[in-house]
Amino acid sequence: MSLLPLAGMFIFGGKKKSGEEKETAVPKSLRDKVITVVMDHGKGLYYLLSRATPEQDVAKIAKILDHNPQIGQPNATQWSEYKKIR
Amino acid sequence: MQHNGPNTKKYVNEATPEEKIIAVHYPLLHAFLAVAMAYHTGVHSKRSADAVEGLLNALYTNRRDYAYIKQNYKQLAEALAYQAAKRRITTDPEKTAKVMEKAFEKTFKIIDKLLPEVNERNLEILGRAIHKHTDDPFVVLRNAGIDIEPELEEFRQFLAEISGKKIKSEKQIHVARVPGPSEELARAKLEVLSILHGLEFAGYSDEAKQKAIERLSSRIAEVSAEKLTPENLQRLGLYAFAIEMIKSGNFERLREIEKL
Repeated sequence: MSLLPLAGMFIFGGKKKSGEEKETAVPKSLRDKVITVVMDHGKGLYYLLSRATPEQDVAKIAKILDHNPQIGQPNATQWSEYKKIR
Repeated sequence: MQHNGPNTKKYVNEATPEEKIIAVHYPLLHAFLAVAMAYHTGVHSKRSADAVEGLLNALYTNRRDYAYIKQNYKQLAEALAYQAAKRRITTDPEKTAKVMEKAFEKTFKIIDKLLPEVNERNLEILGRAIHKHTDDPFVVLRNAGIDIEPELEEFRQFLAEISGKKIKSEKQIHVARVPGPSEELARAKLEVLSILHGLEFAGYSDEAKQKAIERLSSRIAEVSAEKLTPENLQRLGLYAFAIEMIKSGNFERLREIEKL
């Protein structure tokens, strides 16, 4: 067996480990909850927002945030930089 | 007035977990500022949200956290006005900057109430309140002991002012402090209409109808426990009517309450 794959495993394995060590600085349980807030908002947010408008019309909020019925979430926030948190 | 948006680093290293969690305030900032921008410009579409996204992208790329945003919101309001001008949704960036300054202030109050500190409990509550499967964020918040109504009311007044629907000061005080009986009825009407919109979102699925009926039934139980007044009986009638119309699938008839 060539030593090349072994060397590759060592190099990449070593890099991955340092990344994992960094990740432990923030508990996974906390990160998971942050991800829920950032990635899974939708209808609940619309209702909250609609209560903050004069007409309290949730359909208007869905229009402003460009609700996507297929994913049940607003298109307006789908491609924001802050969603690249996984 | 020359506006310059925040510098955007095009090439940045992968965010660390600490840097990633600063994203948690961004969806609320995005949504509330987008709604304020929409009411200010009269552009009730994604274009208003896009202007806010332009600013937030620059901030997140530079790893700016909520504390930074709170400290620098006046400059950021100018940057936001620049984003709006770039998208041609405002012709007066200076005025937009002033309005967005206020929008930041009102939004901070809401966020500070919903997420006073980034910890697991608070995130759990916020995550559930704004979740895509949540029909009633106020139940989630109320159960957690969070009364967000005063802050939302302030935001509502602000939107009414910037969109030219200024509410008279006397009424403002009345609405803000002691809800009168007729207001309770109006609120019940809005609640039923919100449920109707929710059903629309869910494509009138059986599951959504069942949830709507359960929610209305629980409202009936709550109001039944309150003092017996003509207004409360009207609210009960409204909820019962809504249940009947949902059961029979007569949504157009239910929509007629909008005209009342």
